[in-house]
Amino acid sequence: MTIPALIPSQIQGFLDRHEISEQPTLYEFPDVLQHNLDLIDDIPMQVYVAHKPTKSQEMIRAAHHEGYGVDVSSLGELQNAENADIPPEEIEATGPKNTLFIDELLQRNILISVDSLAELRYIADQDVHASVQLRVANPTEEIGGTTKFGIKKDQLVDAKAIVEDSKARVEGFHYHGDGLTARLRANVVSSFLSLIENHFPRATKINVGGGFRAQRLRNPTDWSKHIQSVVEGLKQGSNETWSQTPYGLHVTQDNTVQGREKAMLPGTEKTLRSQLTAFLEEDVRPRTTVADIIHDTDISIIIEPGHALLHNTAIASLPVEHTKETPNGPLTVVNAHTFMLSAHMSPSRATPRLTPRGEEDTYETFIGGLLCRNDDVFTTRPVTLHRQPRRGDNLVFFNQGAYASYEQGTPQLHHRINTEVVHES
Amino acid sequence: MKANNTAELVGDTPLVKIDGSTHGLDGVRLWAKMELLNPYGSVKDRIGKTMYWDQRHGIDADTVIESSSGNTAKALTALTEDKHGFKTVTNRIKLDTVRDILTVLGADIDEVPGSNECPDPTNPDNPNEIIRDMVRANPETYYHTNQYFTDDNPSAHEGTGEEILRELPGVDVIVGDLGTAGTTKGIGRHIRQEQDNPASIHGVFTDAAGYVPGGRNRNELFETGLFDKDFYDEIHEASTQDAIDGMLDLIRKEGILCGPTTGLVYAAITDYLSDQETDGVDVVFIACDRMEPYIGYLKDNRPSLFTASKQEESLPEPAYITYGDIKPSMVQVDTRVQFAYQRNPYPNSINIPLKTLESLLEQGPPFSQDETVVLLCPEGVKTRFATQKLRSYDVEAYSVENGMNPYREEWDD
Repeated sequence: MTIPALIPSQIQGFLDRHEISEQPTLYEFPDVLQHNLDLIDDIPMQVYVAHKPTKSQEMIRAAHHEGYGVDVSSLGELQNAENADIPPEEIEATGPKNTLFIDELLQRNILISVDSLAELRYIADQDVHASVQLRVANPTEEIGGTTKFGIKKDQLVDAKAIVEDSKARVEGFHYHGDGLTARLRANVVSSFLSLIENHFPRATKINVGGGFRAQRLRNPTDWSKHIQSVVEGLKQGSNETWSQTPYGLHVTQDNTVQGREKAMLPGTEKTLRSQLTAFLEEDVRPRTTVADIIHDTDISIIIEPGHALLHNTAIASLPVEHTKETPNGPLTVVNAHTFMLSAHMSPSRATPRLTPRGEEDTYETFIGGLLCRNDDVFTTRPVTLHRQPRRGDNLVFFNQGAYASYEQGTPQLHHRINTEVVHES
Repeated sequence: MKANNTAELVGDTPLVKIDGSTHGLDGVRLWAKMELLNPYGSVKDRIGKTMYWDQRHGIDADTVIESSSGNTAKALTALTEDKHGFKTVTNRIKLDTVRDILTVLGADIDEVPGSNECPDPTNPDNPNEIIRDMVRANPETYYHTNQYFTDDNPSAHEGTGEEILRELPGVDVIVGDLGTAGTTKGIGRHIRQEQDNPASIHGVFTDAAGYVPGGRNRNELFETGLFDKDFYDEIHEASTQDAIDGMLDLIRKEGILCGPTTGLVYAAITDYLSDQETDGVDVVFIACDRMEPYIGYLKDNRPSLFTASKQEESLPEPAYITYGDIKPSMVQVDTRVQFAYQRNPYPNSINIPLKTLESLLEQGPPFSQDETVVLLCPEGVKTRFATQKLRSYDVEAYSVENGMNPYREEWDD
């Protein structure tokens, strides 16, 4: 079946008006990021755009151009942000850090989210003024059970003692949880308000991190229809996918389908703005919403969206080599490999677009690359194209802006994808 | 005219010409496509027909389900009466009258908390997610018509486009509101396909601060799968008050008893055309639904229209006092939430959070008329209404000019 992507107008316009390269190419659209940021410009929160999902300096520059700060989690990201002319006061640093990274941050007096007591002790030992947020591993009972990040809540007493004997100042608290609901995020705020109330009265920042979801599909119900179809197939003893356990679903001995599909992350059909608006409306105290705290107090709420802002900012165009028959069905082979595409949510990739348009027909096919690996298949389901691809065609994959191809671990082993920055507006 | 059922009456709505003295535009023939004359009262009757009625014999499920807070629910309830039940799962019914109408029609209304209708699998109260789960769990029970995404929605309006072309070959501009975006998309698609000199297709949304029932604002539009910005030649924005002005013009000057969405579209297109070079152009706007369900909306948003609301309209003007003129003898009320007050109270103040104060004011003045009351808040804006209300009780009350934030250094310890 066809599961079309939600395509930003800038990218649609580019595809309508331009020839695309004959080489594997990642097209990046900073204008789309600026548009995404425009959509949240009246949300009363402090936004640091997460650098981690992108290595593109153009994207970071675009975010800064819109007036947003940047969240860096490595020395390389810090250097990239500086090369994009972002001043230290508009940068914050999060994640585990080595001493070299900490030294550079302290030198610039960049706001540091402290990930461990060891980091905090090191900062204290440098005897310089430092602005820190304490990253809390388990701010509430219901979240933070298994995480390698942050300081355990019951160790905050130790953290307080370390800070009191140093020139560091606790600006606030930080928690990053992937895909938190608005309610759970508000619970984090509530927990941090109690910490501020009872232990750190001068703290004024509550950082609820990123982990927001990105809209990807034009019609969200397409995915559930596909899953329904897979389940029905499994019940009938057939499996249309490339995987023995499609999306985590499997047939048991009594012929029932078990498991819960894991390909589509929860929340991936909701705008970032909607997620933030819902969060603002949640209560953190009786008759007190997150929005009330922002309006009525000196406490600011910080967020670090990355993937939700970036995922639709790039596309990857991959040239077709040929089609072939396999025991699983037709396979379209492209002059590319799986590491050229964003791995993020790869099992539920939207249907790529075959260009040029050409004659109208339908052709169901898996799509694979040239690596000598059986898992070099780009969609674990057959996708429906409007005709059979042939050499000279391109397949355009959407949602390639976050954790894009050059993020992958072994690119040095394989040929790289070209990158082109497009300004459409 | 005879009909076998009301479904047969859907469509073939007339075009009504708006008098030039009403719209005041030179060289423009402005037409209202009277979708409000459909049998169940709105443009949504058409999609009820394509999404359900035309397919009803192939639907095995017992109940048709949709996320709708108004016209689509109304149409589907009426159309499903003889064969299937209808259930709407929504959090957008903001008007009691609309809820009452759906109840009378016999809709099974499942109202969930929250304000956002866009799909969010992480939120158990989200209407679309609830529907998705219900259909997934009980495919034999529920059939989801899916108005925000199905092509049956715009397809229904290709017929509307055909009707317009039949009456106005060579139409120049089509304009409608952007709710699901299905109406304008379907009409536009047909006209672009059939007319050599294609009409310009315009859409209208509500400004970010406003609320017009059935409409969307710029940001919410990205939540509907049918909206494609590039489809439109022009997209306009108008406010709640523009919508009401437009609605009243059409009701009082033309006898078109339309709702605020029609007013929104009318206001936006007349404003746009007033700056354009026009000479003999035919412009069609979609008059999408009727006035009656929106009386409560008008009372909330234009209380001066109603006798009972004259008192509110005649509330005293808000009064402001500068920070430096506040005297210790005045009752100073910190209207921020309790957490803010406990963290750092405004000096010499008592704490009555604004939500609490406004509730108290419904019962009467919580202060003596002998007292001078100053309502303190960060920006001096949120307390405006409470100040007016206190003054209506003859309490000398003030908001602080520019609020307390500019004087933070003086009170913040």
